[in-house]
Amino acid sequence: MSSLRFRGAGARVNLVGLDRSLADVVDLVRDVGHGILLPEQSGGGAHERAPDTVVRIRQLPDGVHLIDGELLPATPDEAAASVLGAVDRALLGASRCLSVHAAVVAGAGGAAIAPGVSGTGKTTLAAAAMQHGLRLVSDEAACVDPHDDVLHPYPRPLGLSRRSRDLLGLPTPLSGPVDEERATAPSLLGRTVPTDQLVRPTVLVLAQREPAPFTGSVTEGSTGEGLSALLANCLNTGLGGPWTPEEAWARLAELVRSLSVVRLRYSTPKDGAELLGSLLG
Amino acid sequence: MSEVVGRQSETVREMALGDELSLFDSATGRAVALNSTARDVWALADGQTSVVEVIDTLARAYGVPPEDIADDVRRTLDLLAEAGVIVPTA
Repeated sequence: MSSLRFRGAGARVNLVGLDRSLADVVDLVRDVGHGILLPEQSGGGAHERAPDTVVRIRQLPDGVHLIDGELLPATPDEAAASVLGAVDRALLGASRCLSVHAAVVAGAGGAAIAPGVSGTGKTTLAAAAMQHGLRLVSDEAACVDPHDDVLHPYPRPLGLSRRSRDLLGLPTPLSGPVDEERATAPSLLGRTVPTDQLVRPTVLVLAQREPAPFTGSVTEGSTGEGLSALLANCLNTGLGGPWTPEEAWARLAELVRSLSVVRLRYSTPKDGAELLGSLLG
Repeated sequence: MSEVVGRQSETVREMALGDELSLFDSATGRAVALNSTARDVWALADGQTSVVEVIDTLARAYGVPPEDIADDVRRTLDLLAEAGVIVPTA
C-alpha cells in the first residue's frame, strides 16, 4: 500500500489505499496531477503537517475498488479521472478559503481573477494564457484567504475538451485520464505557481466571448458588478459551506476594493490571453 | 393619485464601493450593483414618494428637465423591483 499527498487551495489531502493493482492509475495521476502533488514523504518527521482530509481507496474481496464509496472504474484512464475528481472535491471541501469559480493566472504585475460558471471558457482561456507565458494559479477556483487579500494556488489538471485542445493546438493524447473532458497536465501548456506560494491578485476580469471577426478589447469595469460576479460564483457558501453568503459578500467587498476591475471582450482564447498578458505585465 | 415608488426591502444591506453601491439581499444571497445614478434612485425609494416626485427631485439635483431622465428613472425602478431589492408598499 502506498499513498499520494496533494496540496492546493490552502488544504492538504492524502490519498491512501493504492495497492499494486492500481500502479497504472497512480502513474496517470502522477503524470497529470503533479501541479498539486507533493513530493514523496521523506521520513515523515513530526514537523510534517497532517492532511486536512484523507481520501481512501478500498479494495473489496472480488478485487474491485471503491473511492468515496463509489466504484472505481476498471480502465486506468477512467479510474485516474475518478481519483482526480475525488481529490479535487476533497481539497476544495477541506479548504478554509473562500472559493470562487474562476480562472486565475499570474504574471510579473500580479494575478488576474476571471470568474465564471462552467462552460464559459475559463479553462481554455487559462490554458491559452499559459501558452502566452503567464503562470497558472488555477483554472477552477480563486481560493481567497480568509484574512489577507491573497490567493492560495490550486493548479489542478485542466479539463480540456477536444474542441479546446484543437483551439490550443494540442495533440490528441495517446493516453491519460479520460472523462467527458480530458485531464491535461498543466506542464504541457506552461508554468504553474507552486502551491505553497501565495499570490496577490491585482485585476478582476469580467470576461466575455464575442463572435469573430471581433478580436478584443479591455475597458474599465464596474467594481459593484465585479463584486456581484464574484459572489454569484462562490463555491462554498450557503448550506453546509463554511461561509454564509453575507460573510462572503463582505469578504469579497474587501478584496474587490484592492483590485482594478476590467471588462475583457475577446473572440479566440489566443486573443484573450494576449490581452491578459498586457494587463499583467 | 400618482404611482408611488416601492420601498427598500428589509432584507437588503448596502455597502459603498467608491461612487457605486453594492446591495446584498439576504433573501436571495445575491448582490446587485448600482452606479451613481441608480444609487440616487435607490436612496429615494421610501415607499411613500411618488414616481413623479422622484423624477422631479433628481431632475432638480442634476439640473436637467424631468423629461430627460424620466424613462431612465422608471427603468431603474423596474430593475430594482425585478432584482427584489425594492418591494411594493403594502
